[in-house]
Amino acid sequence: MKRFVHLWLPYWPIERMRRVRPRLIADDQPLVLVTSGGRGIEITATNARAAGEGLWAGQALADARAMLPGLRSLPAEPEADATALAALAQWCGRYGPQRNVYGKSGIWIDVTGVAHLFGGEAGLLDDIVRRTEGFGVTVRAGIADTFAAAHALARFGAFGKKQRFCIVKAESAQTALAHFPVDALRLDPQAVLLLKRLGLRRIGQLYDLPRASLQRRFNDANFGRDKGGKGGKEGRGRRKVRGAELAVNVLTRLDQLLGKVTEPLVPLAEPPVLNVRQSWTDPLISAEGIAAEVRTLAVRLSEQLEAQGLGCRNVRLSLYRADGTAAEVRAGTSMACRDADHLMRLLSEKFASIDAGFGIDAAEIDAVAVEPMGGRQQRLGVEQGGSTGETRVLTELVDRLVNRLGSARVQMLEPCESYIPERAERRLPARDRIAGRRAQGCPGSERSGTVRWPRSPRPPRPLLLLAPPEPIRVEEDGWGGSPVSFVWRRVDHHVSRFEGPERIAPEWWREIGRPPARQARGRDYYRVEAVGGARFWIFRELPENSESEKEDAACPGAPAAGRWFLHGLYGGVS
Amino acid sequence: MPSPVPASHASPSETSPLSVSNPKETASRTKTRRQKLLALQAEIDRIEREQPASFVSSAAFRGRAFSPLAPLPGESGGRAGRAQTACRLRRTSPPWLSGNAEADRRLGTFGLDGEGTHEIKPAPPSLPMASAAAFAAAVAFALQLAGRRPLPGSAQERAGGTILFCASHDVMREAGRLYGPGLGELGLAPERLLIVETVKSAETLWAMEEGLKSQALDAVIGCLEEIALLPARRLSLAAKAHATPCLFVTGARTPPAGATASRWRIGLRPGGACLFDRNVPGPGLCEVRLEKLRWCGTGLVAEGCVPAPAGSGP
Repeated sequence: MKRFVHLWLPYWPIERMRRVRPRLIADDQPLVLVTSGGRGIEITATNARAAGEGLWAGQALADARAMLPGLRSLPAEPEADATALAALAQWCGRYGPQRNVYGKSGIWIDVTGVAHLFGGEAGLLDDIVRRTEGFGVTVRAGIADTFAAAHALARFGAFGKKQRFCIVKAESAQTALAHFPVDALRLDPQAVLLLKRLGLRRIGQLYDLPRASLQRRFNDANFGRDKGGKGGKEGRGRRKVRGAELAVNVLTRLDQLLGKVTEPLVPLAEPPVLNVRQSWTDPLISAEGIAAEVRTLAVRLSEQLEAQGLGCRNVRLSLYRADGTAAEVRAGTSMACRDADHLMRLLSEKFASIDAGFGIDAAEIDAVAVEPMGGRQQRLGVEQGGSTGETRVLTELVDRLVNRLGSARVQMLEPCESYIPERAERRLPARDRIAGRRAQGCPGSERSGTVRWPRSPRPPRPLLLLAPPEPIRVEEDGWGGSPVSFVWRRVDHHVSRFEGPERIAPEWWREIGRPPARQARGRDYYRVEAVGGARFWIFRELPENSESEKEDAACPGAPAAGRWFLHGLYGGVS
Repeated sequence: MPSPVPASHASPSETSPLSVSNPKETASRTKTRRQKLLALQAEIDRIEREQPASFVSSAAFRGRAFSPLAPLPGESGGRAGRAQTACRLRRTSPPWLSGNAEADRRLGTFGLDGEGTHEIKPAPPSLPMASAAAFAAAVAFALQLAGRRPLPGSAQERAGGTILFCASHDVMREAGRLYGPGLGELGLAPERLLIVETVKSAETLWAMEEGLKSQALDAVIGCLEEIALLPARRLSLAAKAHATPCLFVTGARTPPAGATASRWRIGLRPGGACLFDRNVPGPGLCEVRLEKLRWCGTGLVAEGCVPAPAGSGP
C-alpha cells in the first residue's frame, strides 16, 4: 500500500517573490500579482491578507480595486515560479525519491515506507511543514493512500493554528473524505457546477449513487442547456461528447480518490535502484566534513551493492542544503564497480566545487544504473599483476579522465574495414571500447573486434593525419604528372623523392543515389620527401568524371587535372 | 666527443667500499678535508640511491619483475644488499634504450630512467620547412621510445601495456591526429594507445598526472608548447613515486623544461633512396641529439640518427 504526501503552497508566487526580494511590500497589506488576460488585467495570485479580503485568482483587477481601493499590485513571473517550484520539488527528494510538482503550486511525494525514519507520519509531516515554513512559505500538507486523496486533504482539509497537516488512515479514508466538497475531485469547473446544481455538494453523496445513472445524467442534453440552441445539430453533438467525457471524468476521479483505480504519476527523476542517505542535526559546512560523510555513504552503498551481488555503472550524489536547495553530482563508471574508494575519487572531483551555502544537512547517494557483478574485488596494498588487475586499474583511470573531460575526449583507436584512409580507423570513446573488450573476454588482445589493423601496409601510411585534408598548391611535372614542388601553409617544399601514385577509388556502394556533384572522387596518393627530409602524404583529387579526364588527357592545355591536398605527415622514420 | 664514464654509471658495488673505508683513514687529518670527504660520501650515497633504488621501487610497485630470490627493498641490508638487488633486477629487465647507438652508449648499463621525465623537442627548422614535420618526427620518436621500453614479465604482458597520449585539441588540429595504420610503422600496436584530447595545457598536465598516478600505464606522453618548472617537477615526482616514465613533446623554440632526466632534440635528415628505384624514398632518417642527461650535465651529450625500425623499409 502506498502513501502519498501532497503539499499545497497557497501563496507561493508572492512568497517566492519575497524570498528573492526581501523588501517587498509587507505581508499585512493586501498584495496581488497580475497579468493581462482575456478580459483586461487579471489577478493571478494573492497573499494571505488579500485572500482574507475576498479577492481570488482570476478576478479582474478593476473589480478588486473597486472592493479595495488601496490594493497594491505587481506583475506576475510565472516562469520563475515554476523554476523555483521544481527546485523545491528537487529538495523534497530528501523525503522520498519519487516526487514532482503538481500544477502551479503543488508538490507530491511518494513516501511509502519512509515515515518511520521520521518517527511516524506525524513526525514526517511536522518535519516537512517546519522546514518549509522556515523558508517563509505557507504550506498545507496532507497524507493519504492515494494521490487524489492527499491532494484533496491538502487543498480542502481543515487547517488551523495547531493543525498544520492532515493525516488520513487507509481504513478511514472513505468516511473522512465524505464531507469534502465535490471541488476536491479535481474536476472541470462545469462539471462541478452541474454536480452542485443537482444538489450533490459533498463527495459522500456520490458514493451511493448508481454509476449508470450518474453517467446518464451527464450524457443528457440538459447539460449546459442555457448556452445551447445556437450551434444546431453539430454543436449539440459536440456537447454530448463533451458531456460523456465529463461523466467518465467524474467516475474516474472518484475511483482515483478511493484507490479503486491507480493514477499514473511521472516522477521528477527515475527512482534509483539503491539508495543510501544520511542527515545531520547541524548542517555541515567544511569541505572536509562533507567529504568524510560522503565517504561513509559510499562505503555503505558499496556494502549494499555487495550484499545484492551488484555493481553500479552510474551514481548520483545529492546534497541538500539547509536553505531548501539541492546540488546534484553524477559520476559514471566504465565497468560495474562497487569500490567505495573509486566512487569517492570520481565524486570528490566534482563535489569539491559545490558551494555549501548555509550548510548541508542531508546527503544521499543513489545507484542509478546497476549491473550484476559477481565475485569480490580484491583490495590489496600491492596491485596484483596480470591482466584483470591491470584492466581494472586502467578502467579506473579512464573513469577519472572521462568524468572530468567528457566521454568523447578520451579515445581509443579501432580499425575499420575501408580503403578510404580517413575511414580506416575510428576513434571510439575509451569507455565503450573497454566495455567492448570486456564483452569479448580477452582484454588487450587483437581479437577484440572482427577487423584487424593492417600489418605494415605498402606503401606505408603516415603517422599523423590531417582532418580535413588541407588544400595545397602543387607544381606538377607536366600536365597531370607527379609533384615537383608544393606550397603548404605558405612554405615552399621541393620534392626530392616521391612514390606513387597510389589510386584509392571511392567506395561506390556509399555513393548510390547521391547527386554527381556531391559524390566522392577517386584520389591519387603520393608519398613525397621534401628537400630537408620531411615526408608528406599528398593526394590529387581526380575530376568528377573519369571518362572526360581521358578525353582531356589527349589535349594538353586543358584545365588542371584535379585539386591537390596534403593529407598526412610521416614521422621521419617511415 | 666521448667523455669518461660518469660516476653515476659505475656499478654501485665498486663505489661502496671506497665510501665506507675512507672516513676511517682520514680521521686524523684536517677538518676541512674531512668535511670534503663527508660531502663526497653523501654525494655517492645520493647517486646510489637515485639509480639502483629506483629499480627496486619500480619492481615493488609493479609486483611483476620480482623474483622470489630478490630481497624486498625494506629487507635489503645496507648498500651491498641494495646493489645486489639492483644487479638481479637488471638481469630481469633489459635497459631502456633509444635505438640510437651513440646515445645508447651514453645511457650506460641501466638505460633511460624508467621513472623519470624526458623531454623531446623538435629541432628548430633551419631550412624553410614546415615546423609540423619536425613535430611529427618528435612525436614519432616519443612513441617509439615509449614502445621500446622493456617491461619485465611475460611476452604476453609486454604486448598489452597501454600508453597514454595527451594532446590539446589545437595541436591535433594543427599537426594532425594520430593515425592507427601509420602507428604500426613505429612498431607500436594502435590498440595500446589511450588518447586524451584536452582544451587547455592545464588539463593536459592534469591528465598526465592522473595517468602517472594510476600505475596502469607503460608510459605517459604529453604534447605541450611549454612546461614550467613547477608542473615539470610535480610530474617528475609523480613519475618517480608511481614508477611510470613520462615524456613531454614540447615546442621547438620554447625554453627547455626543468626537472627532467633527459632532453632529446629530434631533427629531420634526408633519407636514403629505395633499393630498387632511386626516385622513391627509402627508409627514413631522423637526427637525434641527446642534449641533456642527468648526471652528465647539460650540453650536447650524444648525436646520431635513428634509422627506420627493422622490417618497415622496402
